Amino acid sequence: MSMLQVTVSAMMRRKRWTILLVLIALIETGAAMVLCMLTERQETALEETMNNTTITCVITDADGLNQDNLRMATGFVDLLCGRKHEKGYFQDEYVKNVRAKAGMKLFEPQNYHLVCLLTLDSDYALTAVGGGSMTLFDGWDASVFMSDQNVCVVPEGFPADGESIEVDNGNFTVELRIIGTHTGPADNIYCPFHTMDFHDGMSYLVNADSCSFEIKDVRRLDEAKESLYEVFAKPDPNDRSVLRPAFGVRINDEIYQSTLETLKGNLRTLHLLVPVLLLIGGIVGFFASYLSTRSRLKEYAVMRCLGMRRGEVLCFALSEQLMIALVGGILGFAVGIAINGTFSLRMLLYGLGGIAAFLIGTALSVSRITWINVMQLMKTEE
Amino acid sequence: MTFFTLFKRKPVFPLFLALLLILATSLTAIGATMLFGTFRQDTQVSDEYVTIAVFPDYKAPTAAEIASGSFARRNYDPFGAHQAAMNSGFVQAVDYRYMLGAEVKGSRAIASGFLDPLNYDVDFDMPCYNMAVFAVKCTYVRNGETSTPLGEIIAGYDVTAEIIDVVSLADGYPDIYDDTDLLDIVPGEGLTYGQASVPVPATIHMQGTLFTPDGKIPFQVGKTYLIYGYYSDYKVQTNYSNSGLITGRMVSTGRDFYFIDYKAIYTNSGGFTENDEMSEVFDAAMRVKRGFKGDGTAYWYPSEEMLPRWIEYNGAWEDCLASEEGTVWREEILPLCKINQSSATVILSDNVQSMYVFNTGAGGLQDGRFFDVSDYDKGNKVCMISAAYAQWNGYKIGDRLTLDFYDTGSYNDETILRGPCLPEKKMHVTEEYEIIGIYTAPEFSRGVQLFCADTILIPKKSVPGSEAFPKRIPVALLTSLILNNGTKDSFLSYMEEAGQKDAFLCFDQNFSAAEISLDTLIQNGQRLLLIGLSILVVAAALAHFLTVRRFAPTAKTMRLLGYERRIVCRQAWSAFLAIDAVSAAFGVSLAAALFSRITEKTLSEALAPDPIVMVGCAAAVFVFLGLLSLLCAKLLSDLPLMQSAKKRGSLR
Repeated sequence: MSMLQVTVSAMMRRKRWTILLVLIALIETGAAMVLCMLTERQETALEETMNNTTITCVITDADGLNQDNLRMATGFVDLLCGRKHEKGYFQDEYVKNVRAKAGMKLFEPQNYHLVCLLTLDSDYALTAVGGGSMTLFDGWDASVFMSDQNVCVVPEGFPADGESIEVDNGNFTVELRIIGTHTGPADNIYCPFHTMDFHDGMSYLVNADSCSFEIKDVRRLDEAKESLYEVFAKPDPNDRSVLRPAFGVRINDEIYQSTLETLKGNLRTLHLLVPVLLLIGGIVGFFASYLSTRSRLKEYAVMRCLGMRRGEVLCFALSEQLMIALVGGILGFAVGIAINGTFSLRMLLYGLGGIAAFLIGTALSVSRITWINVMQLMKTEE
Repeated sequence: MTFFTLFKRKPVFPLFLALLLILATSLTAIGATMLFGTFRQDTQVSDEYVTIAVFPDYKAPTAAEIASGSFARRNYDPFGAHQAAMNSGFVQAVDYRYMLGAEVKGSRAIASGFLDPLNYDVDFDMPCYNMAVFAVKCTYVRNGETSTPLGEIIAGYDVTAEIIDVVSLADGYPDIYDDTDLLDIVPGEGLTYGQASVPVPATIHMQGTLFTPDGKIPFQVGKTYLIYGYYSDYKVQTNYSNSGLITGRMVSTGRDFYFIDYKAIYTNSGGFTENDEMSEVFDAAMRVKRGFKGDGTAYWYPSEEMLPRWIEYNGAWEDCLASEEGTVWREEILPLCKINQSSATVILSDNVQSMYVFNTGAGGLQDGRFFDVSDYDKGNKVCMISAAYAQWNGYKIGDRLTLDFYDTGSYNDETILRGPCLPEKKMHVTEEYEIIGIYTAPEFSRGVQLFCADTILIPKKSVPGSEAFPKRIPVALLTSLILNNGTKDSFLSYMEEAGQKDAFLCFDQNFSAAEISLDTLIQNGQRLLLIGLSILVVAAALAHFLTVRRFAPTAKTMRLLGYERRIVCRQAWSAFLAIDAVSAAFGVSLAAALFSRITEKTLSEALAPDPIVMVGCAAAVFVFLGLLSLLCAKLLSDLPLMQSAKKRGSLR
């Protein structure tokens, strides 16, 4: 009889023990795979959370006292928008949805303000909570505000003579084509943020009153912060250092960081549970196998008496455990996949880890049969 | 005691069984701990998020909207919408805030131009911070109509007067009487020191509506007066050039002027420029700017019921104040000015993070902390102030402010004004508050959800009698509905069905993003517990099966020896229970030790084993194992005594 046949025959003779051991191997493998699945689910959920999280950043003065009358050179806005790539200054790798507003009083039309916007929600008055709205004429959409076209949106009821108006702020006069109306502040005329640039690349003829943006990829938040703090200060009224940047940036990430810490803590715990599970699996395997072999010591002693060497007996016992682990493992994989509904390489590895832990436990247990004293055992039995 | 004797004789077997059960129990306990831990984590994380519903700004319809009939969309009923929301079942709480005024002893009020005169806007200062007293000499009087700050046209007069002295004016205002060298900066010609581009401001313009009892104008040319009222500068129109030079035009006179904008130079140069000359230029330019703004100051009177607001005097105004005639000025008007010039707006709240500004990130915490539950519940005397207010007054975290409250009333206006601190509004409540947080927010911006940098935030309960304050439902800044987290969309759908579409805007601080992970967290906890339980069931079945096999011969012998079934059952059960008790106790202890170690390593305090959960888990496991043991003991006591040896062996 081959070793395999002997092993199978021995297993079949002790069906109950075999079933129990297979069950343990199955639980070990299945549990490892389910734990892997839980970890993967948590990681996926965390990814999704990160994808859907918006971290708003607001530019303030360096002291953090003021954020709506900044008079900040629009070069900073260009920097955030990525319009200074050719000069090597840009932050658009880390930020998105830049909102900026710059206002100036006009001499003509008198009593009006020209408000340059980068996006429609750059002005609180035009946001949903601000209650204002903008209606653009056919053929125009909000993306025009990202451009430097000489166009404007006037308040409803604005007394315009033709299709365009001439605005004068005392320094320069520009003709702006009217492309829509708004219900925001009645003395505001809105135009694209870069309309007043004069396209000279310097873009500080108009100073931004307020600016905010979002972090492009929250996974790279630390990198983004590092990069932003090279250009902007961390607002601190007590910082009197001479060389600090002129403007600060407030990054509203407290809640996100706290949530992330909690979620990551949970994930780390799940990760640490894996070795614990494997350890417990190994110990259970050891004891189960110990009990199983304990009642068969006489059987092994007889094998030795028949001339089998210690190694061969051990090999026989091990092959039996291997067979059990194999059957249990395969069933465990099946159960794991059935519970999880998916399968991945990582799950396979976790499952294999479970089987390995079980095998190590059982191997340690059966190895003791090589130390049995045949003479004493047989004598005892007599 | 027969079964126990069996344990004693061959202790390895029960020991191994106990170990097996201990391990299974520990896995179950870890699962239970994880589940309860995730519940705690879920609560902990959820508590950090505040989902709010607030009223948007419903502006009055424009003429064009009325003409087109499209104004109906703004025709809303805040009370109806509020009631509908309260009936929705999604509202967890409502933060009915209240606005007060308070004299902050020893402080300087923040007026809109306090830091940078270019930001000056009298709308933010009226009618409290700009309360002032001047000594003037009347130079021109004209009878005619006048318009009040509210736009009413009433009979009145215009008076122009020379300013003799500023008796009382808030620190936040530029010193309009700063008689220094002026600076003229002409593009292309450089800087010229000592040559003023405009005359030093020295006059004030007054519009009055109060006449003497005999119907005459109370001011006469050439006479000197002390005047009291609300001070207002003219606005200055400014434009920037790329050199940092500001050119401007006085609104009142149309005259052009030039000066350096220090800030523009500072920021556009990409950093700080140490330049003494530049600093000097800046200082001089700022003085010029102040000078400009003081030129032709408008002046309005308080309401007619108020204190006397002018008094004619001869000689020095100080003598007038010291005289009996000046008693009211000395003892009432000047102290009142002082109170208002050191006052602040106070917002009482039960949940500061439900305010639009803080909820959406438009404002944020710069230093310290927000109020916690205990602050709100106990009404702790703690406050949050703006970074601007803190710097202007030199306050820092831990400092104490003494607030003397005035119920000044509030308005649902774009600038959200409060009234002045007047004697009849005094609440006679003075409390000392510790600064625990410094926030930044839009400093002086218009909007129904915005507040100004002068605002001090305190827990509502910290003011005695605050529960009696009326609810200001239509005032958007003072009412926030706090929704159950995760119900934003459902709430909006409900409101739409209730015919209140667009009545509210909801913000959830990105809870919808975190919710995905939180749901998974709970599900994972449940799955982990299920794994633990399934392992426990299998291990328990295995252990009890093996024990039954081991006990079977003894049980049978006992029965053959004449022991009653119940005695065999009881003895077997007690032996089982010994293993069960050891397993439950040690298993849970092992889980607690292991999991504590893990959570310490992962810094997840919320997941740390909870003693109550652990004890509960041990009890549940013990009950489960005990019942299983009872079943096994019953099986042993019911062993058939007459079966063949082969059949008997089935239990071996």
